[in-house]
Amino acid sequence: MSKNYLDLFSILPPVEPAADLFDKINQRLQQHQRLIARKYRLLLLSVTLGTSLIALIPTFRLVMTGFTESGFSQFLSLIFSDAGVLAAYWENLAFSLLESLPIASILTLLTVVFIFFISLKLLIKNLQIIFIPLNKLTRF
Amino acid sequence: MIDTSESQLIYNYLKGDEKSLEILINSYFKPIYRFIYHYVNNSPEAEDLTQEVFVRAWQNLSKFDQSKKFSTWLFTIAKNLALDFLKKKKALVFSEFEDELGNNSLIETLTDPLSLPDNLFDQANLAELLTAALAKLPTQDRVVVLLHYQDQLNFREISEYLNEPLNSIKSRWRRALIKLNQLLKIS
Repeated sequence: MSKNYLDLFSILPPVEPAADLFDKINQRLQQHQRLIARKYRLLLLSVTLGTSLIALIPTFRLVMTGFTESGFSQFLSLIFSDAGVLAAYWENLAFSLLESLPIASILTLLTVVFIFFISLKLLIKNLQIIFIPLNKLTRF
Repeated sequence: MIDTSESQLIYNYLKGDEKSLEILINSYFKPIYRFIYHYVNNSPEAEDLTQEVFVRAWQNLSKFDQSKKFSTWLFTIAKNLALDFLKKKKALVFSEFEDELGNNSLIETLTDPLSLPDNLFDQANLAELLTAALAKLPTQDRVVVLLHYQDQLNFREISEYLNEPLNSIKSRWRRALIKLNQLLKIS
């Protein structure tokens, strides 16, 4: 090596990174890891949302069938038929209505509806984060 | 062939040991920063690009061919990012003396590129003159010179980092010194 050029370049200030560059690199990696986790969550929520939406139809039909088969509709129609009978036998009617409720299918429908709305809420929340371009996220 | 300890660190990280990745980053973030700084000559941009290098490396670590050298792979990512950045900024400096065939007329005319002007070290603002002269060098040539003289790398190491043949590196070095010599004589 020519000593002249070594002496020449020795006058340049040393190139050193900022003290916190290592931390910034780790933070950036964590940011990307969180973004990937969010994308997977988004995919899962989309599947859950789609599945619950599709499941709404058969579960709703199940509830309707349940109401018909259990006789609930018939008992309910008594309320609007004879006020005197209703006043005399309201307790029995109330118990009959309760007994004939298709509880299982109603619970199933409520569960599906609950999953649908929770998935929708979380999906919207995660979509807002996903669609912010990465270079507009926190720059370290 | 990859260093056994680096190979082990990569293996451990891919098995779920986050600490292994931190060790790898710690080993390379300063050399990568200095390497990129020689291209972009700007601290904030060099920092940003350095971070991006490690993000890209992390994203592709599972696909890394462990029969290759990790440092070469990492510095290749850094070089490509730096060059892409400079292209976007339209700040890439090319050699004005090269023709289409890669022949350099400047090398033909000057005989001894290694001797500096006699009164050069007497100049009060030598650091500024040198910085200005370096900025006028073709980007790739400048990087070779800085890696050689500032980072104390030999030509073989530079050849590995830049993934270019050894003779190309030496040609760039010689070309850079000739141009630098000319610029410093003028100033």
